Amino acid sequence: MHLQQFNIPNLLLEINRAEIYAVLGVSAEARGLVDEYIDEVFMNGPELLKITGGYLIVEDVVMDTKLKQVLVNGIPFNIKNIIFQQLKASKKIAVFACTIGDALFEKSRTLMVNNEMLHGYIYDIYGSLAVENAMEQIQNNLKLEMAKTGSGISNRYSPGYCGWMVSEQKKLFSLLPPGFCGISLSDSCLMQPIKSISGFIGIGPEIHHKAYTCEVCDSSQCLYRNLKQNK
Amino acid sequence: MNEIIEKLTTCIEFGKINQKSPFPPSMRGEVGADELTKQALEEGIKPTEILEQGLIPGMNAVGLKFSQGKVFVPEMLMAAKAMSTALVHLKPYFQSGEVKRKGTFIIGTVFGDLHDIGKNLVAMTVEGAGWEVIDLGVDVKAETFLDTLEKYPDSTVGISALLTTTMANMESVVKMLKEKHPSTKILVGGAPLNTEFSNKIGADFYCRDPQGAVAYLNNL
Repeated sequence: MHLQQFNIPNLLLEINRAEIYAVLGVSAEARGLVDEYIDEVFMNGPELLKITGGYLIVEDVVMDTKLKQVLVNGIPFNIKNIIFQQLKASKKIAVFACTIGDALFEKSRTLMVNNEMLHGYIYDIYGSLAVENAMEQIQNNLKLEMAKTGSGISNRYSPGYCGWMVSEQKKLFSLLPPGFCGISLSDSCLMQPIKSISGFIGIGPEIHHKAYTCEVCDSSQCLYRNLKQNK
Repeated sequence: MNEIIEKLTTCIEFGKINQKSPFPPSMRGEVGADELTKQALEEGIKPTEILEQGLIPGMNAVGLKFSQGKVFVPEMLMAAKAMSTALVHLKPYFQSGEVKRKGTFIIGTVFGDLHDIGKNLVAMTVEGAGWEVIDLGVDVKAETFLDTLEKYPDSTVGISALLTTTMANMESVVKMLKEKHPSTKILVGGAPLNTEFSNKIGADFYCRDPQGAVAYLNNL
């Protein structure tokens, strides 16, 4: 097993205005107001980020074609058919987690409580994009690392998406060192800090990263789907 | 119809809070819901007329456009903010009983879940439609819903969840509320839910969007 953990400097984040527009939905009439808030968030949001993320590469991976499960270190994950199809050629699995910490979420909620809903919501979207963007950079690192060994990597897949139940987070986190990246799980498998992500990335010589696979998933509220549809 | 009332409806529909507010750009410099509500009261327009003929139609108009995909979350939030600014002036009349709300709506995110944006949007839209809203916040236990319902026994209840794990918690809340108050109507909403799930847990209505909640409440 191979563990990597990174602290991502805020300056390396690449979040653009268009991504926020895409999640929010912005008419020409609202653009000026939204831009004012986005400018403020771009200026002050980065200071509120404490980004930590990483992955554990597990070599003990068995694909159960019949049950559409993957056994990672002997632990069965019921990832369901959509994700199983994307990961079935994996020889290894990178179990990942990433967080931006609590401060930005708290700022968002403080604004909302004070009747600044739109401003707070833009902070919230920025936080969601920040954690995804940070993980994208960590994933790129993994891609380069694996390319040296002749392997490719898959997209990242998370509990809660494509039919994979959120309740499997507990098993996923049992694979990682305790307190990995400072993330903990509630009884209902909600990650704390809230703006955190986790999941699997498949690794293998026959594994390739694909463009968005939204057409095979039925989630209507996914960030990726909203980004794709509204771009 | 009174010109102030018409202007008030426009201000709510387009999210014009007050004269200082730069939004929407097409109404820059004009007075907003704040000044107009005050002016309407000073001119002797009845608070009930302000609410029912001015404010609520504005929220209904923007809510309808939102559910039709003609406007987005920013417009909804600005409209709601304009509405809440106007309602501050009407607060004394609600307290004295001169203006009556359509009813009381208790809303919260189910225990175990901390997501609140969808819940807040529903709460603001329902309030803008003329209901008194008691927002219990996030991570709300069944007992808290029940205690609040017992304080406001004629209320309707809304429960929100964003995760597949926490939506399962809704069942125990619905069960507890229905056991004690079988006639209370319960709405549920959130990304992973659907009508089938709502029926399965014994809720009365699956609320897909804020306007859906308003339409259901108005038909009770």
